[in-house]
Amino acid sequence: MSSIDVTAIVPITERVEHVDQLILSYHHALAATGKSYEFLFLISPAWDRFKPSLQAIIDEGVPGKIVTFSRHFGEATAIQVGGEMANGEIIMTLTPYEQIAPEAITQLLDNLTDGTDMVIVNRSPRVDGAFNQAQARWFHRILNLFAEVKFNDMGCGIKAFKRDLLTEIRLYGDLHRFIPQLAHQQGFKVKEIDIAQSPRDAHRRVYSANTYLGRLFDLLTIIFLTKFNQKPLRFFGAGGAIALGISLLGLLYIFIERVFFDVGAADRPLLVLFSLLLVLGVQLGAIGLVGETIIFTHAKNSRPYTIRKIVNGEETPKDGA
Amino acid sequence: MTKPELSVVVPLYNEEDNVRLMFERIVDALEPFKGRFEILFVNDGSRDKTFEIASGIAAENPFLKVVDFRRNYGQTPAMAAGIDNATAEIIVTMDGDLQNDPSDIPDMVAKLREGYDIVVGWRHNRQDKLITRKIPSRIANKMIGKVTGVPIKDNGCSLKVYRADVMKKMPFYNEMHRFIPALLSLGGAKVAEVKVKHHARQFGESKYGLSRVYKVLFDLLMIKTVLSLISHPVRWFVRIALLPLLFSLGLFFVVAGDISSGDSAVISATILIILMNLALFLVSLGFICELIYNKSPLDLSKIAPLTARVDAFEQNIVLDSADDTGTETPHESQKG
Repeated sequence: MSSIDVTAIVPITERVEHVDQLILSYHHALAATGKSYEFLFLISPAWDRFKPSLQAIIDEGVPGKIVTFSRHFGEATAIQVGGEMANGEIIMTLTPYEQIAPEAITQLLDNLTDGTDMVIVNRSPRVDGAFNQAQARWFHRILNLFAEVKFNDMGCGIKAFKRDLLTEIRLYGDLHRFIPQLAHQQGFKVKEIDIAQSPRDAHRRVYSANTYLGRLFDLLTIIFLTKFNQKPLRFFGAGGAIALGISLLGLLYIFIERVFFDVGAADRPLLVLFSLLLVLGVQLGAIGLVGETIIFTHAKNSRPYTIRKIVNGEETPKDGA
Repeated sequence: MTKPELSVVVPLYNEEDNVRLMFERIVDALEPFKGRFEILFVNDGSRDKTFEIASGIAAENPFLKVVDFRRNYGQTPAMAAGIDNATAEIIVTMDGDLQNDPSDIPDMVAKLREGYDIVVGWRHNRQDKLITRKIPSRIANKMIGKVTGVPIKDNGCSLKVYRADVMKKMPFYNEMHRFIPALLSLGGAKVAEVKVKHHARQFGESKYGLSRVYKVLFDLLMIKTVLSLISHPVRWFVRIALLPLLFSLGLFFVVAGDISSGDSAVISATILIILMNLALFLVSLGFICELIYNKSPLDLSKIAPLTARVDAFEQNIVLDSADDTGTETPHESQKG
């Protein structure tokens, strides 16, 4: 396997616009840098119809390979698969629709210097409508409230990072949006650069209620994965302890009224309420314990740390890997 | 380089003032092992010159390895990284802040060779603040001993000596270092406790404060649960479920004796069902834990043969790996 400089992964899974023209522009931009590069097109079956035109581009001399999945696995999986097949030292993910001017992608490579492991794009200045901007702003506001590190544009699919980054994180579902957060958690240096948004990216984006709900759970997932990855009991236990605390105080109140003020306890609906809270508290805690059991039994396979290098030694391979 | 006899693992976090002194003290203390030991400094994402100084020393001393983390992960992952990358049969872990004294190591190694799997240090003359460090730590140790059944006097002491083959098989993450003796006892390890010296901090600030009281409580609950894995997770969850179960049974008799009294009977019956529900839920989770352990790559019985003693047999005998050692551990402490 010959090693080259850059592998550009283009997941064709969700949205496609002007793809042939765009890929050629990417190709010219990369060629101008003088680096060796290849394209990997990862196509979901729903977008099969673009295969011939991509094949035509490859025949015309754009170095690249086409991978067609047999079912829809989503963008995150496509990127993970692309990373495994990539020969490049640097991996770029490029979108099959225009988010920034294609010539600007070389700026990412310029910024990926020694101290930086990943470069992502903040589309700024933005040219799209107030509605798009407002929903994006709210999404990031909530995310940044909890995140350890603040980024402004998770929606931009154009990223560049060093190859070993993908071996330390695991992508599935909709996690591709949060590669920067996951990378930061594993100790990689992520840099966000401002690049102007392309006018072609400016159409109004109104999604289905389902999509918004999905985004909300993406947020919860990423907060859980980055903050409580190794300690589920602290996540569930905090909620459980609050519920348990309130219910115990409430039950104490009912008990005191019953004993000292002769107020009947058995016919009070309040008793049911506090019993339910008690049950909720114990259940949350118990779920946390199940989480801890999963972490404990799999701890030897997933290391709790990442090593940059070892002076005077070599890293021992992972158990069971 | 031939395989060393001893690996000394030291996690370092912003210890630029201490690194060189630390290295020299260890080398002095391990004079009897000269040429037969290695040191692993684990740089836990320090923001000062710790890594530069350590690699500078490593350039002149091939027996010093420096493991550089990508970020700060905490003391336990740092020790785990050192243990994973250690090559000797015996592993020593200690703090990077010079509060432990490397001169205790030869005695502890001698103790280990008497036939123990882990020797833990006991800072009997601890040089720390009373209110914020010593008293909370004493209470925590009592509780850990009670919960885990391994009454170590000083779980917080980082100076410990292990047999590498046992230690390398143990899951080790978060803030587990406090529970190592208890965890190892899962695999039937023999634990010894030895008094060690303890110095006040010379440079820098103490990095671990009082804020971890509630964390220790959650950790204890976690440890109790994972310790139950070796025997019967279902039983542990049944024990938690016992209280709501008994309560709901009690209510049953109240309701049965009082069926005609209208509203209060309905409320009692509702609570009865809610509590019964909780008991069933907990027992079901016990079975889920059983399933998780059953399907997981972790097999604690693999540790049992490592710690089992074989007398009057051939050396290469195949041991019965179904050895259920439970949580009972021979425990000794050495005075003086």
